[in-house]
Amino acid sequence: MKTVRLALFGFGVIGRGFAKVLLEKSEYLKKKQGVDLKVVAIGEYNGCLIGEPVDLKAVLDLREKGIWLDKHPQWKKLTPQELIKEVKADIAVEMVPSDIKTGEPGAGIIKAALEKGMHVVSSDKCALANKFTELRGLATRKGKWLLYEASAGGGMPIMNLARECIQADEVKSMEGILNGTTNYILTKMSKGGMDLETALREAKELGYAEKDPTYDVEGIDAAAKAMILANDIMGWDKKFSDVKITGIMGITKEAVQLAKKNGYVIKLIAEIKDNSLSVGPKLIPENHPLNIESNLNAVMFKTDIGRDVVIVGRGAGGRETQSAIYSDILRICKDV
Amino acid sequence: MDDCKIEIKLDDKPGALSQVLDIIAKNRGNLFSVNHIREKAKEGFVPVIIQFQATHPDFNAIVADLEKEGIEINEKLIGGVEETGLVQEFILIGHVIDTDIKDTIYSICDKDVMIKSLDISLKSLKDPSSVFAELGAKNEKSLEAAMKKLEAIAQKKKLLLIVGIQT
Repeated sequence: MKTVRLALFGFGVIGRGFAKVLLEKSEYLKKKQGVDLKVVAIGEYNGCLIGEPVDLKAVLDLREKGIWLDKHPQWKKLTPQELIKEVKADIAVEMVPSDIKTGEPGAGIIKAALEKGMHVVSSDKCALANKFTELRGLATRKGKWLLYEASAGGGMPIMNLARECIQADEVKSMEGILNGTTNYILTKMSKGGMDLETALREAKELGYAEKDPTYDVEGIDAAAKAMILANDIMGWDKKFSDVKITGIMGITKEAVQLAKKNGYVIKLIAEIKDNSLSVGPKLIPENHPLNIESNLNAVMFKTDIGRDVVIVGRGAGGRETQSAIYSDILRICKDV
Repeated sequence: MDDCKIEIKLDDKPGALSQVLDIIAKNRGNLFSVNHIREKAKEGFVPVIIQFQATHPDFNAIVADLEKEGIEINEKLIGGVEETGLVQEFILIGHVIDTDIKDTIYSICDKDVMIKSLDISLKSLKDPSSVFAELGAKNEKSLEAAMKKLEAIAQKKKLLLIVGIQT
């Protein structure tokens, strides 16, 4: 049995989802993968918990009661960087919600962890969208893994699929739906005849949209993911500012119904092709594989051998995203 | 759904017609009539005229599938208009009528590019309108040039342009 020590950064929806899945799957992973995953630290922006291992159940119980981790008796006032210096871990799991304009604090945490000699798994699209080349370069120089499947497409294994399943194919282009919130809104406008404001309100009520959904409806979230996928899978060196972005706010109920009458749906599509990146609303034939409903995500690869390969899944969610995070961790475990 | 008509050169052998009808059905075409003109059979081929209803994307898929199977199509009509080349669908949203829709259309059309169909939705005079159109072009070069012009016009007139995905 191999014991692998993990330092978690961020204990929001994704971080708590990670802890819940570990409590649920710990024995299964030992049996199936021969790996004993131990969380030895949980870092937040204002402090941390260190343990050998950290009692995840107790920490989750505390948060379920609405109590923040800084009330925990073993709470230490260390910054994430100070925690990285102090703790001995094999993999840093970075699940912090960073700023899309700066990529911080996530990018700083990833850098510090790689510098310390840890492998890194990240779900933080903002850190990667801002500092992709720098972080990948650092990981390469340090000879450490930096994997980020969860940062683009949540529970959908897009990068792993490209890396592991279609190795002989040359990916010519990719296009897809990378934002579940806008897909939910556009589905409701098409199928339910709603206007955009009503569909957005419903998405917020169901927890599919943030209180401030600007990043989703303006296409920024999808653009960050498209950039990560382009750089990882196509090997490009694009910056977030290279993505041409159009959001969905100008789409009217009448336009959606007009498209439907003529055999089409409108979807927010990320396009990665001909060395350029764009996110914007597109007309999709009703019978097209990218016409998926609700808050699902989908990506279509166009390759030279397998031709069209389509993957559909949950692009977000505290639990669904863990599928990607654990997949990355277990890949690294083979080398630890 | 549009009225569609195709005239094909059918291989005169058992099962050939059934294969064609299967392709139409698979792509959601609603069959009206099949005219098998046996008296005009020549060199092992029989001309067949098939009329059906289908949406434009489904019609395109039917034509593509028939051509993929090596079936020669002599004539293809959708909505009474001859299907001669490439088609690009788009929607314009905004004050499409007030910003002179005629000027928008005339600016992109030339001898190789034409608007094949136009569908307008107008909630009220003060609200933004939506226009769905199908642009037909003889070749890729003329289609690309027309779409570039359309993008520039949409930007100038502050209209949201949504184009069809390449299938």
